[in-house]
Amino acid sequence: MIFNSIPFVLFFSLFFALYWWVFPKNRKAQNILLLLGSYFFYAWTDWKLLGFIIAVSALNFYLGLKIQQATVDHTKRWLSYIGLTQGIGGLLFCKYYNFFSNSFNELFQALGLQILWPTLSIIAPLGISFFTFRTISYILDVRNGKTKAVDDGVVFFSYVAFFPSLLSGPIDKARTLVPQLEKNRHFEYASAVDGLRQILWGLFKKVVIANNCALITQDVFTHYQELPASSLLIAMLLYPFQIYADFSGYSDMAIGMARLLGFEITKNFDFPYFSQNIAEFWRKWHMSLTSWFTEYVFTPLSIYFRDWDNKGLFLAVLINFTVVGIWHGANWTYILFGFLNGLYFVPLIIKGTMNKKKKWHKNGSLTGLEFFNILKTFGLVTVTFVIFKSESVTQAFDFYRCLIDKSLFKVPVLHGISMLFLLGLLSYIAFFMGMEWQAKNKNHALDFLENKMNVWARKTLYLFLAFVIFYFSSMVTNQDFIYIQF
Amino acid sequence: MKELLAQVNEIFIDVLDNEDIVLSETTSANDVDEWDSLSHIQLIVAIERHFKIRFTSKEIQSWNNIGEMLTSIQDKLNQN
Amino acid sequence: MKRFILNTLKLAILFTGMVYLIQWGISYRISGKTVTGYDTLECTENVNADLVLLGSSRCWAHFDPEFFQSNYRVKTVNIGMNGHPDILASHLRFENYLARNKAPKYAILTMDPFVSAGNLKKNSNMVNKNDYARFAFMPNTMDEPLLQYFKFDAAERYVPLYALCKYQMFWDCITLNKSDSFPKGFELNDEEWDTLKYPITSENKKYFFKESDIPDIKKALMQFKQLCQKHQVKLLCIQTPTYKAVYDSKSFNWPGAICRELNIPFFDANYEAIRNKTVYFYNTNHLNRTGVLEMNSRLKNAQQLTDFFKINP
Repeated sequence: MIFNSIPFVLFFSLFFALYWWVFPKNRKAQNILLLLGSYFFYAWTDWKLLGFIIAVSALNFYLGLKIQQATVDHTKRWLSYIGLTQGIGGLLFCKYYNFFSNSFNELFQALGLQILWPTLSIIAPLGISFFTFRTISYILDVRNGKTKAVDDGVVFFSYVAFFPSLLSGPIDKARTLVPQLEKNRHFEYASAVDGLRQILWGLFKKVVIANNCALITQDVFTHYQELPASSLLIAMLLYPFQIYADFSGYSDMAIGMARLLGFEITKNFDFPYFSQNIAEFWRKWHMSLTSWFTEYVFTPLSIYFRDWDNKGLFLAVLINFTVVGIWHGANWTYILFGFLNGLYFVPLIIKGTMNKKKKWHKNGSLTGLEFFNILKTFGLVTVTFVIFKSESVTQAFDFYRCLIDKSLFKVPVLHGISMLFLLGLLSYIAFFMGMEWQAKNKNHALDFLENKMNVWARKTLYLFLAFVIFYFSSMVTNQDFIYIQF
Repeated sequence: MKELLAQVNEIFIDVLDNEDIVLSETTSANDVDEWDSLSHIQLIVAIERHFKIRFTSKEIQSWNNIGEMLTSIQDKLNQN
Repeated sequence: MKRFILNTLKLAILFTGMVYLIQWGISYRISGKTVTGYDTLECTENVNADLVLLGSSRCWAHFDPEFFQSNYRVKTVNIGMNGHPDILASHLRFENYLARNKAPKYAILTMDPFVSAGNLKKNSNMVNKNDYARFAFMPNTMDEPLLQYFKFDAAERYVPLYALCKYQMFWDCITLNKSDSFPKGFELNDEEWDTLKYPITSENKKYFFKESDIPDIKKALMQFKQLCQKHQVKLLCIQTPTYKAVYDSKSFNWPGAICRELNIPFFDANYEAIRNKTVYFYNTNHLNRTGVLEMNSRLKNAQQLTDFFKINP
């Protein structure tokens, strides 16, 4: 069930009504409903693997309690290893097994060895990368005493399967989401309304920006060899907007939905395309994932390597980002994508400007240098997204090769796309970025309106947004979210 | 403790390149803009070198604020 | 909570109202007109023609109403359906026409090896469905059968603007920039045959009906004949030219044989002189302007046609 579909709207409306009317102020009942709702939501897309998520939850629930009860450090460590083995092992097996065995086979073949590692047909449970990261963070936090083990089964199982963020994040750590499940939730008008606003904006991003960009990028990336370089340039520049709109749109919807149910879940994007350097970009892009990696991968590594000064930092950053890349899937493209982004940090570490957080000027203005830095950062990211989007590393480099060509100055060819459509899309993107710029210190793009527009202007804007969403979602059949595959 | 805090404060100002930092025992990473995961490690290295001590990985990851960090430093200094 | 529900509902109602208003405005704007040239249901209302031309694209591209009008002094309208060689489509289209007009005196239906019977329940021929999307919202009973034929679903029928957006007709309806696509009342294609775009092959032969299809075709044609009889319309079937690459005498003899069996007058206009020259076509199955003129000059002298129009029914 994806968010922008009729079944989901019906499901959520019914759920909302039961949640607030039938079980108001009854935390236990609400949690049970949340759990059943989450499982129903999951089963709708993938009922065969519902057992998997239940088993994973049960194991980690048990381990959490045992780790807490253990008095000896040694026991705690071993119990946590079981949890980590299950989590990392499950991920490796479901998502990466075939990748590794294919890579091994290629290696063997190159070495002239006649060994064939078997490949299996494995169905990776949907959202495995997301819910596994929740259980891993839980086990580590319990072991390190950062959070208490959860003793209420319903709470823990709901934490793992919390449906708004089950399939595609944000990845909440136990210490932020569990306490909210453990306390009573109250319906707050302002928060619910703002949640709806955020959903509206998320839908706009997904349906209007991402889906329409996809019409162009999909075709160009498939037929890049036959098209003039100018077409490739257009697709390359559109893709960052597509993936950002797609993924942050999903996050906005998830956060908005959680707010309608009285939860505040982790922010996932903080207007990343206004970043002035790559470090800032990664602080603002897929924040729940980067903060996860920072806490559980980068920090331990950097502590471990700390005697090597900057060299240790390079190494920690490179490893960290390579793993971030791998997290996206079993393909060399993702690994290279992560590695390159890690490399981007090197000059920052040398200059020592990595952790200088920029503050926006009070009047919202932008100096020439800042503007240049924003464009530069966007450019750097755009280049790596080509690799991210490509089917293989070879294809990515072939794409670059085709891009640097005299046909860059030819009139671009875009199959089935009229000039009018392209102009329309560009103006939607301009509107999208303009709104985000206005709201760059807020939680989401429609957050700033309250003080700046009167009621009717606001309502008109909402109606306009709703209308373009209606228009484009009628036109294009539902397209899956990019990040659901990870 | 006062003495320690002052020394650590100096290190923070030096590493984070911000004259305005004033630490107290309850200060945490959320309160200092420049103090993030990346500068964290630089701070630790600077502190270790300054006091000629060495923390374990577990100690470093257990701190929630300056006060806990200071206690760790105090413990190490007492051991020496 | 109450306030939240109330305000959300208010906005939802406002939105629905707005969408309704736009749908209503568009319906008003396009009523009685054609938007793309193919959606002829409303623009052929109350024309009360004497002769109605029916069939597939091979009717729509080949029959110039003006020719019949000047030659046989009968007011003529072409309502051939592009991409729909099934007799069922023509049947439904004719019923729709009859509901909107006085019954004509004559009807001409294209018959050739490409025809099929058609099946309302299992129809999968969705060519030009988008042109019919404008009729989908809150349909009137006359259009209902055609909408069923094109399988418009409940959302398309009852959610305002949905069908127009889905089939990307929204802007065409507002601007009406394509409504003058076929000013002559039939396709009239000026193109010469671009053999790169439409290669000369016998490929299209695969669409010929097989002998096993004949019983169904007979049945469908019989029903069509009965519809004509019911409204006292005199029916003639005509076979129009195809390029020689897709011609074979056996297949092209079947239509005449079927008609004779059902006692429907049949006229074969698949002239050899036309069939052999590419200048008359824009692809293997369709005549261009030159081809239409050539065919008409031959039809003019055809005694059978003259007789058909002479004898009063």
